[in-house]
Amino acid sequence: MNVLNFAHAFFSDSAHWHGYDGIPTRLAEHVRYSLEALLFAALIGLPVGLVTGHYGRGGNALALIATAGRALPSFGLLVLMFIWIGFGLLPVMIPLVVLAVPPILVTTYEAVRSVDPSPVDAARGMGMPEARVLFQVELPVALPLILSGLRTAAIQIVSTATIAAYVSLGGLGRYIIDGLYQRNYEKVVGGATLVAGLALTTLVVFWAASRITVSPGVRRSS
Amino acid sequence: MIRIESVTKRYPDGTVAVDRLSLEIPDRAITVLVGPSGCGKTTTLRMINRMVEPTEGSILLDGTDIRQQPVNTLRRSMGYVIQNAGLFQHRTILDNIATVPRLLGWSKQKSRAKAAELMERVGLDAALAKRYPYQLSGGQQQRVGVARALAADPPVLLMDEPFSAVDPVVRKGLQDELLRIQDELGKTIVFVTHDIDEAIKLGTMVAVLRTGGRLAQFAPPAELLSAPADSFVEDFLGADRGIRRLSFFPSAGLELQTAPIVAIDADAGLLASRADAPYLLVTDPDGRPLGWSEPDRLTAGAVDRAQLLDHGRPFVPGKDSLRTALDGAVLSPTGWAVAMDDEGHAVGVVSQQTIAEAIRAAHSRAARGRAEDAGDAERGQAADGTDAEPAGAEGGTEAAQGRAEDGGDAAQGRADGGAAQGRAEDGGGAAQGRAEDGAEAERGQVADGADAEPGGAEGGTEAAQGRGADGGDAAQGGSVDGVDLKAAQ
Amino acid sequence: MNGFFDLPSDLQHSYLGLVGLHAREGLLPVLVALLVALPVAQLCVRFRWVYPPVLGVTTVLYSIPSLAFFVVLIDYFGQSETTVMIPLAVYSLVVLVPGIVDGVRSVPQETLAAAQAMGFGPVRRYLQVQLPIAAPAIIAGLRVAVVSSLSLVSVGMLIGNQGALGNMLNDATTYHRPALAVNSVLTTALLGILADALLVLVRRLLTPWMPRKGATR
Repeated sequence: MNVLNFAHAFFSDSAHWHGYDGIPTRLAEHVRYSLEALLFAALIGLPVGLVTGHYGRGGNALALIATAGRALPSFGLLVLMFIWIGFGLLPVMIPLVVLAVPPILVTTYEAVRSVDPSPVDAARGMGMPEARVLFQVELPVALPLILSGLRTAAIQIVSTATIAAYVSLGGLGRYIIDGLYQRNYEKVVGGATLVAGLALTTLVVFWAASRITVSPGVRRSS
Repeated sequence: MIRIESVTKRYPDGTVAVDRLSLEIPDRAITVLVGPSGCGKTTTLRMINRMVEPTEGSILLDGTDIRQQPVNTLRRSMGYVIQNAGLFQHRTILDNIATVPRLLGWSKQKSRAKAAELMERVGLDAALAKRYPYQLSGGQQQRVGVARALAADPPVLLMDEPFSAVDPVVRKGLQDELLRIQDELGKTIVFVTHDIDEAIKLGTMVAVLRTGGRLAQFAPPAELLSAPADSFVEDFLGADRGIRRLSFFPSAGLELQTAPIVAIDADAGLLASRADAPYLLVTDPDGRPLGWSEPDRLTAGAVDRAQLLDHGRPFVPGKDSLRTALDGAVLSPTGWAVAMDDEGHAVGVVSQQTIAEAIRAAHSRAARGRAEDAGDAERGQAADGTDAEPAGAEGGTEAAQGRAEDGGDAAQGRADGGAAQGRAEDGGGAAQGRAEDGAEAERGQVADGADAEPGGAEGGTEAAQGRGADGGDAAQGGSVDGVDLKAAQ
Repeated sequence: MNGFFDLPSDLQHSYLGLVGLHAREGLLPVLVALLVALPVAQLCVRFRWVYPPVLGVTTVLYSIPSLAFFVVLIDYFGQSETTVMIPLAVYSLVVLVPGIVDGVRSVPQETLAAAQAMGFGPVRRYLQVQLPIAAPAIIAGLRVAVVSSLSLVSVGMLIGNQGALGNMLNDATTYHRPALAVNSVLTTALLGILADALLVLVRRLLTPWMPRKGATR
């Protein structure tokens, strides 16, 4: 027996393709949780990162947040929230967002701060208002790095949302956790394959997004 | 006019970048701020568009404090060019140039049309419009920077070491281009550089700043070279000050000799008649110089071009300076410089000795001009010295140079030696001593020549020469004895 | 905080025992990754065309969720420490390689030329010039790798209680003792921050020539 056989057996079983525990349902759940968490994290991380990066202040505080964000065990936080708050989406969303904010925040800050200062100086000297300097001069150049921060956060969310099945969340992690309990290795491998596939899809989506949104002038010169 | 009134910039840590600086920056001329690093030149420039706010003092633009209007309105009325151009790498060249028009609310179409026009003006190929900055060379990027600054046609242009990051050859091209554009547009330009040669080449007025943000001297470049205010300025100007100063003396009045010029197809009789000259300049049948030869080495009808000695770099009288003429003479193995016209025909030759005399005469004129200028600081007046016999003046030679630019719109007269500078805003009558008539003249130039009597400037003779360079038709006024240049006004 | 350090017997370890176990499970993979990353990075520096594909593969590997990675390995290594440590080593490798490549590449060409002109052989040049100058970048990579690795060890609990400090989380839910979960989270985080601080110290000792400003990143 090997992993490929397990995966094949899992996907060819038609019972896995419908119902509340079917692949489409679980996939949709996983995508929904992930998108929601990413959205919340971006709503916090992007504005703060853009503003701190633009004014170049708070770098040390952000470096601390970055280290703390990495050091906090996502799984531990998940279990802790579950014990404290109980069942539901909230105990899962909190750790997902808390863990996704630091990469977004810190890379956005770094991205904006490391923009070449001379075009920014030129823009101000030409009488461009501050907001336009940020959005029309700094942001387009910082975009590739900002997207990479969002990508890291998204990947982390997809990964952590999998573990969240342990605290009774739906999504693709269910197959792995349930499979481990039931000693149904077929299910475990099937779930793992799906999760890996989703993570790779996330990579592709971000790659495509950067192809579309990043100016060729920036892509080629960096 | 931009007036900087005893402006001081002190930073919170106590360092003083600019110290009670006052400057009057003339309209439609290039004013260069130059000095060593830490002299506050960039800070001064950045205070003009309020990128830096002065701690004390004020800056007036056409009589109004620049703080009277919203900061971004002020900045949009001043072009801003910086080192490395500071282009927006995510925008095409065309959109980079269209930035300020877009900020001013012009339509996209109008902005881009204007941008395309400017690309042409700064000498950029229209094919580059859709490119991105990374696809351009440093020199091209800097041209885009200049075009972007000019896009909304601002009356003022602030340039902060714009050409420092490119190699010397490209830099020279950019400098020439800037002078050409300035001839066409007549902007009020404030230009910051640490390169004194660039300052002297570009500046109508040059402000030398010393470390600590203090003004050391504010003068036209020629005056800077001839009369540095103190040892700091002198040191900063560096070596070869005398030679470099010759750039400001015109070569137009040099007495040219035509006798030593022979065409390659000259007959034996002609050659024989010139045999007493030490060297003869051989030209092709059209009169273009080929090289020097000793007379006895020339045989009529059988001149071997390969045997001729190099003639050095010819100068164009009226266009080139004494420095170019001297350079030509020094480079020539015979010690004679070749003068040619715009088409490249040899119009005469001149010896090192004659040039040396012209230099001496020019110096004495300049010295006298300064003395007068001190007593009677009336700008716009060419130094005149026919009847006056001030100290140090050996003769009555004088030079006045008038340039009417742009159809007499901004005529600028510059008195030789830089002691007095004349500017006139209206019409043709402004340029002193011009030989051309009326406002039609593209360029009028009066330059004095060397004395008619070689060997001494004592004779009080003077030469006024007028050239109308319009369409290459060189209306030569010839040298007129005893003409007071004032009379020619 | 009643019974904060009073661990249930099924954990089979004392508190400090778990900390040691956690440190070993988290740090060993990083060490292995570093030993692999150095030659791989050197290869990428030496042959420029190697780098883009290596970067692509590592980015893909990095994106695979840890739990998926663990369970696939169960088939080969069972529910063991090895199964937990292999993905951690791979993640660390992914973080370290680009860091080392950038670090070694950032050594100025003049410096290398000067070293060569003085008669440094390739090995000496690598050990005595390139590596020391790249040290800050390598340590920056190590900091990220170590902290992430230590935090991920906890997930190992899901595959047969191989999560060291993470194992306390299971007991926290089973016996409903929130204090155990708090203990697990805090200890893990502190362990990570401590390791991070140690690495900063190491960097200061190794690179006395670096300006002190902006030490954190």
